[in-house]
Amino acid sequence: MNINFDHVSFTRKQKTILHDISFQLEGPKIVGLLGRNGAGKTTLLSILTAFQKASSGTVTLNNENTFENEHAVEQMIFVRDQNFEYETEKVSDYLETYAKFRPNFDHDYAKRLLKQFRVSNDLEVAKLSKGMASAMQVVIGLASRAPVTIFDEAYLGMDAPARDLFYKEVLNDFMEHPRLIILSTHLISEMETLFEEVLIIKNGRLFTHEDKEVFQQRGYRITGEEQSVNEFSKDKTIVATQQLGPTKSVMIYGSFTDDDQRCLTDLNLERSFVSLQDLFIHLTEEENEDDE
Amino acid sequence: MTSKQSLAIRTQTKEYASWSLWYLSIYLLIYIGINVVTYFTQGEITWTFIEGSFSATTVFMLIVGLLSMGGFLNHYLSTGLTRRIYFRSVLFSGILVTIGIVIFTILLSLLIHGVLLATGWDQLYSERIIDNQSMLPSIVEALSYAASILLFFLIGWSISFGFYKHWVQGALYIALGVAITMITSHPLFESILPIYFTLFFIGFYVFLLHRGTRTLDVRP
Repeated sequence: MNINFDHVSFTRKQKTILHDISFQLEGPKIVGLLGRNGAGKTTLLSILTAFQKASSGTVTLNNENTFENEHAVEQMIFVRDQNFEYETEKVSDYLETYAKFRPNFDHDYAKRLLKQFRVSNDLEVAKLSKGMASAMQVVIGLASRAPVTIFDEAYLGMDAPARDLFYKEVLNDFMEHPRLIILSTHLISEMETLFEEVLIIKNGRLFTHEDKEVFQQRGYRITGEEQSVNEFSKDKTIVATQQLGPTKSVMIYGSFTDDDQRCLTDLNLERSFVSLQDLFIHLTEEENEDDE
Repeated sequence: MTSKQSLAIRTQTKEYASWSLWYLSIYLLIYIGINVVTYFTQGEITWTFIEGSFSATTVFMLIVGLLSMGGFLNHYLSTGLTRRIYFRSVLFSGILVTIGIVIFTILLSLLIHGVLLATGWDQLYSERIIDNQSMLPSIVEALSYAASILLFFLIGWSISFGFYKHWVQGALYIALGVAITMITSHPLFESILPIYFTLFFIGFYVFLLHRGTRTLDVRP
């Protein structure tokens, strides 16, 4: 599987939501799509899955344009928060409407998952609780076994055990049926162990797309005596600062070279790694401060 | 036609057909109820099944058209289908259901007439019905009836298409639908084979909806 975004922009009603986005995803792997509310994650995914058409640029799946391409769209499933207010079908019938158009749909797996998520087959979809409706969506997403499986905040309304089950099933099913899975999320701390790569969207622009470990290593915290910390960080990108008495701690985003290591030793400073979530939060906080 | 396209048409037709069966069942009950009432109040049957079905079916198909936009289009894309498949499925299913309703209505009308003849209750027909003998429409009448029903389906579909884009467009499509309905039912045009006008407007709506849906943004 190869997804290619080439200089994609999306403008509607004179508002540009995505600006010149280019990246390439190659599966099988699990990719985390991160970004704050309104950053453009869902728009990006809706362009990929042909719900909307890019204003400029091209989006391809295995070198085929995805928009109105029967062969391309049948290989993708886009699981997202949906309104089931008027869905009077039973869960089993609703699943069947998806299954008949999904050639790889695994009915036994779907049944097993529904049981695990405690979603009854006989319930009307409109009567499902928010968490159960999300679980049903997740079941459809996983059991469809589409070569490109996309979950956009798919866990909304799920309680902690259900979310845990979701993460485990994503991983288990990925191991058994490797494919390209894109997880768009806010709950980074819960899901970061799943990601192999991260794509971060910031204000409609691609902030970064790289291996998760590489990205995470760009973020580190330096702690020590205030003057030494200032000396070390004077030419670096500081994304967060904390101070307690004479001790200062800064979160830095950028590469860490051998010279940095020598400087660190000379200045008697400590270096520690930061979580993906912390890094993400502070990088996007910086953006908000700029906006203000 | 791809296998997915034919599967989508079958699925869509099944959905419309189940709505239609509900509608025809309810219409049949209302028809019987009204004739029982007129029998007891006027001592005769004043209304045939087929003549009453025309206005009721046009309203039903208008509603079917109105319900054919956002939810279905979103569902099609969610199941990995395209707008083109959606458009063709809704259109062909609309045509098939129209034909089905016309045939079913004629058959039911004949069946009811047969029952009335067998029981001798046909004596209860009002003079107007006996004079007109409108139990079995001619082929031209049946075609005209089918075309009108299909036109109302397309008017409903176009209105919901308009509102899906913007409420102003929805309002414009309502105005257009009203204007076309007035033209096709005007006595002046009725006298010069209205089916041509109806067919022209059917083609016009198919063209509009085809163009309109092929690149339509769908809210995910």
